[in-house]
Amino acid sequence: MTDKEIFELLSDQRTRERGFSALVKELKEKVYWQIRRMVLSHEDADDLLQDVFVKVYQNIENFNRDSNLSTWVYRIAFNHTLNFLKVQKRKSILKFSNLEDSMLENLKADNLFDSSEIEYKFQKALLVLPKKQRAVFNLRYYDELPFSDIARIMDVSESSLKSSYHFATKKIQESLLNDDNIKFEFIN
Amino acid sequence: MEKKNNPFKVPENYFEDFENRISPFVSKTKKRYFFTENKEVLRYAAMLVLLFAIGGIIYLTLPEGKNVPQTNIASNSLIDTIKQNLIPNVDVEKEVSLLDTEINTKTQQNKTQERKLDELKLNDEEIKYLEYYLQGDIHDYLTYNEIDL
Repeated sequence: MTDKEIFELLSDQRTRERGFSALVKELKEKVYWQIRRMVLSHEDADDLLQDVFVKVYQNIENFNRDSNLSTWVYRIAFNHTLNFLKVQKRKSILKFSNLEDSMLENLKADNLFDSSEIEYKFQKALLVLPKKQRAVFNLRYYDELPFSDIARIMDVSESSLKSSYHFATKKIQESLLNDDNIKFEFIN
Repeated sequence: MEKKNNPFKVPENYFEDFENRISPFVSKTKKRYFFTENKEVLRYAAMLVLLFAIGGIIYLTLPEGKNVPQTNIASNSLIDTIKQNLIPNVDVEKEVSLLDTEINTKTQQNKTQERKLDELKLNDEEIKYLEYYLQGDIHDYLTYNEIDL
C-alpha cells in the first residue's frame, strides 16, 4: 500500500483504524530499527515505538502533505528518540554517571545483541558521536536512505548532512583504528 | 566487516505481535477523540457553563434584599447621598415628585396627539408625504414623484 493510499484511509474517520493498521504494518520495522540503533536497548525501543505510533494516530490531522507520510513518521520517531536521550542524559548527570558508559554496560549484558567484540567496539565508537551525527550515520549507513530523505526527517540541509556523515565516518574510523587494526569501508 | 550487519535482535514474533499490543493504546486514544470531534457541542456547553457561572456570581454578590429591583436600590441610595452630602437645603423628595408629575403630563399630551393623528385617517400617500416633510426631505419627495410646484 502506498503512502497516499494509507493517508486517504487515515483521513476518513470510518477507515482510520484500517489505515492505521496498514501504516503500522508498513513502517513498524523501519521505525523500530531507527529507534533501536539510537537507544540500543530493546525495551526502550519498544516503549518509544509504541509512543511514536500513538502520537501519529493522535496527530494525523496535523499532517500537512508537504512530505511523505513515512518521512513524517520518521521525523516524529527521530524527535521522540532525541527527547528520550536528552531526558536520560539529564537523569544520568543527576546520578553522577555517564549515559554512554551505562548504555555500553547494558549492551554487554544484553541477550538481544550480538556480543562479538567487533560489534561491541563498533557501537562504542558510534556512541562517541554527538546524537544527531549518530542518527545521520545510522540512517545513511544501515538504512541506506538518500541524503534528501534524511534532510527532510531531520529538517536540515543536505550539504550539512553530507559533511556531518563524512565527519562521523572519519571519527568512527579513527576510534576503531586506535583500538584495533581494522579496515572499514563506508558508503558515501 | 560486512556492510549493514545488524548486531541487534528482537524477541521472537515481536513484530508480528506489535500490532496487537498497540491496539489498546489506540482505543484509549479514541475515547479522547470524543472531545476533539465534538468541538461545536463543547463550545456551546462551555458558553452555557460560563453564563451560569456569571449568573451565579451576580446572584451571590447581590445585597440582602435580593428581590428589590436594582434600579430602586440605586435611586434610593442616590437620593440618600444627595440628601446627606450635596444639597442639604433642597427637599429632594419634593423635587423628584414634581419631575414625576411633569413626565406624566408630557406622556398624557403625547397620547392625546397620537389619538388625534389616528382620527385624521390619512391615506398612504399623505403619510408618505408627511414622513418626508418631517424629515426635511420634502424636495426629495417632490423630485421622486415628479411634482412641480
